[in-house]
Amino acid sequence: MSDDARDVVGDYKAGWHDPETATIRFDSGLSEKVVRDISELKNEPEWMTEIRVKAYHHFVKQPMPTWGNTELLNGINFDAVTYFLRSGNKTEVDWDDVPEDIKRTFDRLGIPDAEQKWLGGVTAQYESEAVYHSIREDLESQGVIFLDMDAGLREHEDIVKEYFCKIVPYQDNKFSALNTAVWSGGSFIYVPKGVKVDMPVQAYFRINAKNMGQFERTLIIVDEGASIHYVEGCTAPAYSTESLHSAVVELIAHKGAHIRYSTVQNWSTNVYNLVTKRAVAHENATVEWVDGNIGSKLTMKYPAVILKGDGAHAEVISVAYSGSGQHQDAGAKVHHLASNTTSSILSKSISKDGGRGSYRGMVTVSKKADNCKVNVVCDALILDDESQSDTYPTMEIANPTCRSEHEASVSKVSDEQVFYLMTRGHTEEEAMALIVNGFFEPFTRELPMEYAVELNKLMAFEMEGSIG
Amino acid sequence: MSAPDRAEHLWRYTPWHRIHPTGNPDDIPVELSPALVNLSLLDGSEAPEEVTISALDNDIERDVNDDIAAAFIRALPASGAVKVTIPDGMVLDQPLLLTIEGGGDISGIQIEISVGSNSQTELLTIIESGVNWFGLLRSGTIHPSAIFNDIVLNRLEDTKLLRIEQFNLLSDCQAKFGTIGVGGSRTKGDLRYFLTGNGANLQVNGSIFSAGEQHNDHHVEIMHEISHTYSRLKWHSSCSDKSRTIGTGMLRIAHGAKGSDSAQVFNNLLLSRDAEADSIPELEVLENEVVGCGHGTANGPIDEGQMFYLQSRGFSESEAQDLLVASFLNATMKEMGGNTIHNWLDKLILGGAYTQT
Repeated sequence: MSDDARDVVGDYKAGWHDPETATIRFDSGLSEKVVRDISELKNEPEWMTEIRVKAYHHFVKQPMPTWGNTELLNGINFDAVTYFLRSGNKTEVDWDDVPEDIKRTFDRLGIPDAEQKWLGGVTAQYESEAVYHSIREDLESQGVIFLDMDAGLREHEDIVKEYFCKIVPYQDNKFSALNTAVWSGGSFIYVPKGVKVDMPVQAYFRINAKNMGQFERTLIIVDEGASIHYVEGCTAPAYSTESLHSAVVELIAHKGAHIRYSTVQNWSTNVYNLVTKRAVAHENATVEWVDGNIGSKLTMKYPAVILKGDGAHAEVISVAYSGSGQHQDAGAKVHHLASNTTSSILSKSISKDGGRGSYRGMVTVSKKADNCKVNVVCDALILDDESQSDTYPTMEIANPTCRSEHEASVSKVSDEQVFYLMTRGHTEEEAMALIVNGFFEPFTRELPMEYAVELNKLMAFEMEGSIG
Repeated sequence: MSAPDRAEHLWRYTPWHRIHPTGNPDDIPVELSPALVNLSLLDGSEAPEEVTISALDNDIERDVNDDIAAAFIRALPASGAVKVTIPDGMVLDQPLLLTIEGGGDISGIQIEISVGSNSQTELLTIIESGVNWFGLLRSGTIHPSAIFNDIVLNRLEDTKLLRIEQFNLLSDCQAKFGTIGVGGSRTKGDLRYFLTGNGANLQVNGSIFSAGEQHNDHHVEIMHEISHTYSRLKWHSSCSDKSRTIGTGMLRIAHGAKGSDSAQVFNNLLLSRDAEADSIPELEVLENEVVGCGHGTANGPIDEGQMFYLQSRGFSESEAQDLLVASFLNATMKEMGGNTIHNWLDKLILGGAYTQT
């Protein structure tokens, strides 16, 4: 890592980068030609090219959002971003066939090791496209489709066409338009009726090149009575210039289905992380977003669930850590459109060294949605007097049978807790790390164990030097 | 000044043109009738001589941060401006009563209130009129160690009310600001309180009864700008028929405001299928050494158990509902002032102000 990069990102442990070995790299900047070229390179059907072009024009017209951290948002130079970079010639199914330099990167991140131990399938995306992909044979034989999104479009065009852009239309916001125009990679999952995928499947996203834009698109369809747990992790090298990550995730949980979507985002602090995630839950379906935001310069991410069918349930657990120069503007949105639907949102944030953590949420209950229950809890810890914590919740209730509650509190780490742990032999720093890990516990307990252990280590690492 | 963006939650539910007297955001009406103002004691006797009400020069520079709504009311010609001065050390057993009656079609008034140091007073302001639009701009300072209870009662008829308020709380004062909303067709309130003196203590209470097609939108900002300040906000709204209540708030703890203790709660009671209640209670905390800082909102219907209990005691369904709504609104109203003022307001409730059936 260069010295100037270290100034920007500090001691970010995933911050190394490998020499760039691109087979195709587009010039920086965005135009209709770039959009058409990406589509042509992937040999996409015409309808997809048309959607891309329409989305591009919408992106150009759409102003930047006026809320969130407009100062940081306006700092994005879209002309400096590289919108497509291909590192491998194809997506490998055998780990040994992955190019050596890329393999080394993922080895260092522990990806193949994790796959052997506890995953049902893995996709590893490097820059714009997947470089490695595998799925357990027994899942494949049950009809589970787990592909990178490009392969999903090639092999299951009819399913993609039915759902693509239906949950998050490109008109939704400037960044969903950008993603739709230049998307590349991401995951495509279809779980057939009644199939319960017992082990999590994982996607790992890595940006390696400078000024790179990663625009993966994920579409997960879980049919009636089926279930899946999808885990994604993200890292990037520590450059002194900015990268842009703008993903779109669309989830469809059919009747009685269960989707858990877990994210541990640990981008380096030169990455803008502007993601649109939305799910539709049909009758008696459950969608859970388990969302951890540790890295990035600016994150704006509000996982949403549209509760469309009677008895559907949404759960969002979100934690955010904001260190020096970081603004985590995260939250959740739940729209209750049907009766007997329930939702629970738990948001926890820690701000330190001048970081800013914001919860921004919205819950709406429509006129026709009877007997809904809503619970929103936001807790924040501010660890020093340079940092900031904000809460911006919106509740719109249009049905008299709804019971909704929201509560938020901001506090510092209790002196009594630190004192107690120190009397038990911990140093003050260890005590702080333990308390912070305990504060995040409702999140970590929902993660696969390996992720939880890693997250605890990461938070202990972030807490180093927090005393004095 | 351009019309504000609806992305700001202050203007999300009542955009500027919908509370503007003519609906045209660029229009400043020239035909304006001044409001009649009268100050007395609540028991009907004259206010003490030391408490003065005087005309205020509308052209003087004021130390307030005007945004579009406040600037608009100031720009209205002949809207009238008065200053109410409560001298230092004044202690009154009987609350002051300020009645404001709008005239003509469009009416408004600016009131500056100065509450002297070490005084102990209560002020009940009642706005009544049948005008189409009324603008009320109140500003003032609560001086050190004053104890001040302030209540504004909206008894307007079919009127659009734009109410802007900015108060500055100095050291060790104890101020309660209460809002009772029963009238008006559309109300937009923007109430801001700045705790700028060490030890300032603020309570803000709201008791809002919405029925018919009323639209009640109140935005409350509380700014802890200095250390060791205290604030509580409790806002209760009931919402029936096709009415809509909105409670938005901003609680801000500035950098350096150590030892701040603050909390806000918005509770909404929804009584009909066509009613709607919206809340955005916001927090911005820039200081970690706080005693506490939190907010909460809750929405729900009338408790079925309570309804059943009252009906089992012989109340009809509508009587039971009226009683429960009144007690819900009374929960914040009883915090607003001393016994005298509360008994007076109690009669208002018994007189049917909170009865919808």
